[in-house]
Amino acid sequence: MMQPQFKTFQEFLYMDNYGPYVFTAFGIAVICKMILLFLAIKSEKKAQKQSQILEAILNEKN
Amino acid sequence: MRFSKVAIPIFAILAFLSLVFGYIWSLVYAPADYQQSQTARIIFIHVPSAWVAVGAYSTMALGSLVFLVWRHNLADLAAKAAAQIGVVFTALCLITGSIWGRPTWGTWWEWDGRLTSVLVLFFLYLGYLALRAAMNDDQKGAKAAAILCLVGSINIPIIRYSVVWWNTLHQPAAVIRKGGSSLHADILNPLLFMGFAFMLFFGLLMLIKMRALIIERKNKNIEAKIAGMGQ
Repeated sequence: MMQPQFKTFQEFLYMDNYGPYVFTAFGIAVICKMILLFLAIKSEKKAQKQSQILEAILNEKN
Repeated sequence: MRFSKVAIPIFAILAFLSLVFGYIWSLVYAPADYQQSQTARIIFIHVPSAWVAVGAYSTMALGSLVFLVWRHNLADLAAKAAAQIGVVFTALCLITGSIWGRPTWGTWWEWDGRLTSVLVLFFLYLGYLALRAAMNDDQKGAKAAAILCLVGSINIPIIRYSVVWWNTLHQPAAVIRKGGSSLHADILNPLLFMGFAFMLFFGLLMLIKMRALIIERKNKNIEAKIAGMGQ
């Protein structure tokens, strides 16, 4: 069974004085992933919307 | 398209759950290193980022090869999608490595073989994307970028063996090496799990981006059709 490596939340945040390094690295990783996902979903939604407009124009012309 | 409709939600759920579990495991339950103390936790995002960065470039190279040889447009779109994702993971690998380097090596950056070859990888990604964006003709842009990507793929074995050829500051391979991993199971297991979670996330992004790029290409065809009708 896995045991937590920290006794208190303060100890967890402090990380033996390396907290700023560890949490900055992990924070940047999470932010990068969120931005990547947001941009991917946004580009897909934009393309879908554009597709509907173009289909409507094409049907009108036909 | 039908495959992505089914696969995207499955990948999204699996990637989200494995990332949450992986982050908790690496931050709270994995042990600290006896020499590097708690900074060694950065390994759990730095190394998987490097795996995705190299994996995305390999995907790009394969897509570029298939596109150049068989003129398969879907392979070109896969290469483009992989480049847009890979560039961010390469940057993430460089940034987290730099943050880890400061308390461990006493420097943010060193012109070490591994660091420099990954920086070259980052520039190759930027070059690939810039080349595609600079060309007005999509097909010409895709062809030029595919050639650049294949030429640049020489950098992949250089990254792999840089720690052997120029063994300076960056540590040698610890996970995939002759005689098995040098990491203790308590570190290796969460690291492999994070690698799996990062790969799932990469797969999810690839599916969404490929879907978007396919629709965009269809839209261009419809636009051309509409323009043709107007003449």
